[in-house]
Amino acid sequence: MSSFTSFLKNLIPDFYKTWDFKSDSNRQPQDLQQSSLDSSPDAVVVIDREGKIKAANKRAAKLYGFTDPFDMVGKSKTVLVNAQELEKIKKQFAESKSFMAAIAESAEDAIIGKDLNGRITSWNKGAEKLYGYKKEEALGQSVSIVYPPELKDELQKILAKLKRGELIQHLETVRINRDGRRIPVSMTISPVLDEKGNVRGVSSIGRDISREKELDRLKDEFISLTSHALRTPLSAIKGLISMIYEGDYGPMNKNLEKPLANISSSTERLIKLVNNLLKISRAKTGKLEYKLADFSLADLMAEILKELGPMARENKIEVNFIRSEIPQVQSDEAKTRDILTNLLSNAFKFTNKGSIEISFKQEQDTVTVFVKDTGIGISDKDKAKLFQRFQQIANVTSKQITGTGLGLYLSKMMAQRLGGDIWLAESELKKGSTFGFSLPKAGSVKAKEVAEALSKNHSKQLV
Amino acid sequence: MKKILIIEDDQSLASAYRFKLSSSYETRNAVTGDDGLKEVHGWKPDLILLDLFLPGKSGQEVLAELKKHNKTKDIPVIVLTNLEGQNQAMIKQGADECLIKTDTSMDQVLKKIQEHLQ
Repeated sequence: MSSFTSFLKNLIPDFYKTWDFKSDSNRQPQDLQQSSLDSSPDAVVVIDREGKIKAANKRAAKLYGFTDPFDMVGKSKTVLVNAQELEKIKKQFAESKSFMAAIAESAEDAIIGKDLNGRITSWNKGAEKLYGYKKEEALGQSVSIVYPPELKDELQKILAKLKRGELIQHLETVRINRDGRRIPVSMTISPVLDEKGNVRGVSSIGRDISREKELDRLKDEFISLTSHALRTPLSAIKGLISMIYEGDYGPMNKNLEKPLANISSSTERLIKLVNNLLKISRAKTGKLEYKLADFSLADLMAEILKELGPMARENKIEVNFIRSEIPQVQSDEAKTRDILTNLLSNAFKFTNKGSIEISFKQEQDTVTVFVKDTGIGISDKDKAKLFQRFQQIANVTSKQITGTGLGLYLSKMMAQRLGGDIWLAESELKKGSTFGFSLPKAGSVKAKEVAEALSKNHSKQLV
Repeated sequence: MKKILIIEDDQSLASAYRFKLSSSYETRNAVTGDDGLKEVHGWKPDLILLDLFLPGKSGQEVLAELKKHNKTKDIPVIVLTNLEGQNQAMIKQGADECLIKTDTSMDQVLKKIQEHLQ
């Protein structure tokens, strides 16, 4: 018996019989009477050496989905397998479909199907729970019933994106339930494709994130209150130190100059740390306000360099300011000042008797400033941690580290919010590092997008 | 000598202000909003340094009450706080100045007082 027939026998042992003709060329399939074939209680298929079907009975026809056994004659034996396999696949498919449907149905998340016009085509238990509409009520309705009035254009934007085949992941937004209550949700929305790859519909998974939001708010409030509470005694210390220094309490003892200077710099550091924590907590909750204006990045850089001049001289650092003609940027000037100051003071801090080069570059939508130093450089291990919270790069020179470990983290957060970015362009240990800081060009498409996004965020807070 | 009332609950900060101002002004410190208002009516200061985070009545409430009464509405008020983003709201409520404590040196506070008492 060929391996093929044994395979078939194993697959359908009760229904399948076959004659193996081997080299018996005298016996023609026609010799077998159709009627005797049909009288067999089993499905019988006769296959020749080439694998062609020579004969089959009615039962076989029925089993393999043919109306007449003669239709099978002359076909390759593969139709038998295909038909059988197809049954199996169909059954598995039906099983997995109902399995998937059961998962979707019982999921905690709201899983909704809709067509490209936003009409609801499926609605699970999670959706009933989250939005308050029963399945019967929701089917056929526009999905806009769960969109708050001010977010109606969000639906159009989402649908446009999906029609292009794009996926939307973890979009934090707001939906409205049957009772009109606003619910903060995280949405993952994906296009449903047909077999040709055309977008046929949309499936969305929504999760209620009220609890997470509430915890976030509590954490933010806690940080905010503690920071404020910390700042008052800190300002008292700062004020008192400066008064001692200036001789308000009488001439200062020379021996106290050094320890007082240390207390003063530690206090400044603490103030900066608390201020940065506050800013991060505000930035995270979208409460940090951005006042956009068009200004020259080069002019601002020149101003900051002047302020930091003493620091450069103290560290014997030569500053090369390559000022090329560049267009204005759109940004928040105070925050841009913070970011540039942070980049420059890092460069000064980690460079000893070297040089710092500042240059500009413009692209389609952005202006970038590069700050290149000949400092200690950053190891590959440290590169990955550079923009994370509370990460400080150990200074190999004798100078002490005086950072808060929050500067670059906060800078990156603010730069990205302003439509720009900060990144490590290149760095080599003991040779130096180059940081890039980009901002949108004034009047560019990017600038307009950022202005729109920030004003929207601002108006949302007012609501 | 002109009189300055410092409504501030952090007593070391208040004493630092008082010391800084002592050579040119007469000063008093009130630790709560209610005590501050009492001092305003009884002692009649020429200028008020006002903190916002206060036990009991908040600085904002104190400012609102000061601006409500004819007798007190013209006394210059310098808000000294660590609450950010209050500037516009405070000026709108009638404060003459709103300074962030940690960003303002003792000398700057003194200078602002001189400006507003001229």
